[in-house]
Amino acid sequence: MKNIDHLISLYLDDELSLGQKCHFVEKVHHDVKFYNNAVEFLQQEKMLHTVLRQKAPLDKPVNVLQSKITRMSGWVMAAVLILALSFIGGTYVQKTQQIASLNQESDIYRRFVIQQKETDQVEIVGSFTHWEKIPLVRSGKEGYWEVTLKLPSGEHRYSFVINGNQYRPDPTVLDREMDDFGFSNSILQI
Amino acid sequence: MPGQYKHFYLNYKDKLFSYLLYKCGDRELALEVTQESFVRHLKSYNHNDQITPSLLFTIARNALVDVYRSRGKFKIVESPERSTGVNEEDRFIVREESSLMYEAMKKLDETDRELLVLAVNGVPYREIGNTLNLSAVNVKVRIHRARTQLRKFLVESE
Repeated sequence: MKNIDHLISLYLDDELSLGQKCHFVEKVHHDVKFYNNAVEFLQQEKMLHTVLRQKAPLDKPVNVLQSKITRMSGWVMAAVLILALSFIGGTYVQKTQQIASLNQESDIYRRFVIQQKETDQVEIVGSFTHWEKIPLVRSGKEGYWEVTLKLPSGEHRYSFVINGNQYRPDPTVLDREMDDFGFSNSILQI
Repeated sequence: MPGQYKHFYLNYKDKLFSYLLYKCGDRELALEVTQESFVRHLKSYNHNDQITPSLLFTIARNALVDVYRSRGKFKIVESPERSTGVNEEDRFIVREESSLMYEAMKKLDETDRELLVLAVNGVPYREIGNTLNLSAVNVKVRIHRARTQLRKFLVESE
C-alpha cells in the first residue's frame, strides 16, 4: 500500500490541496496507525514550535548603522564610514529608518507565565487589558500557567489574579508599585 | 512605504529572525542580519512587483555567510539561549524537552534542518524551494523525512 505519511507534514504546514484534505481526514478516521502517527507528529510539532519560539521575538529595533560603527576598531574608522555613507546619498540610511519606524509602530507579543500549583484559576489584569481579567491556561503538569498577549510599546502595569480574588504581582518582574487600592502591580517597559 | 510592504514586514520579521537565530545561534547577530536583510530587500523592492519571501530569505542567508566569512569562522546551531536573560520567564522555565529537541535537531542534515525551520516558521513550500534551489517535490519529501528523522532521534534519546 502506498505510504501517504507525508500528508501529515502537508497538513502541519497548511500545504494540503482540497483533494488531499479529503484523503487525510478519511485516513485519520479509518486508519489507526495513520491516526497515531498524525498525533505523534502533532505533539512533536508543538514541542518544536515551543523550542523555536522560546527566543524573544524581534521586539527591539536595532540601528544597523550604529551597531556596525560601534564594532569598528576606533573613531577613525567610524568617521571614514560616516563620510563614505554621506557620499552614497543616504538611500541606505533612508531604508534603515523606514524599517526601524515599522518596528516602532508594531505591537509586541509578550508571554506571561506564573507557577501556581493547586490553583483552579489564574487570570491577568493590567493597563493593556483595560483592567479586564484575561484567563491564563495551564501549561504542563508542574503548575505553570501562561498566556501570550499583544502589547503596544510603552509602559504597562499588571497583576495576576489567583482564584478570582488574590492579586499577585509577577514574581519575575522586579519593578512594582502600589495602586490606589493597596494592590502591588508589576511594571513592564516595552 | 506602501502598506503592502508593511504587511509583508510584519508577517515575516519574526519568522526571519527565528530562522536566522536557529542558523547562527547568536541573538544579536540574528537581530542585526534580520534588520539588514529587510533594508537590502526593501532597496530591491519594486512597487509593481509581487513581494515574495524567497528573495528576503536568500538575502538573509547570503548576509549571514558574509558575516561568517568576515569573521573567519563558522558558528553552528547552539543550545537555547535560556540563560541570556532576554525574557524573565526564559529563566523561569527550564525544559528538559527543549534541550532534547535541540540535540535531535543538530543530528539532522544541515539542509533538512534548514527546510524544517523554514516550514515550522510558516514559510510556504514554494518559497522554501526558491530559497534553497530545490524542486517543490523535493521540498515536500525532505521536510517530511526531516520530521520522521527528528522523531527517531527523539525516541532514541529518551
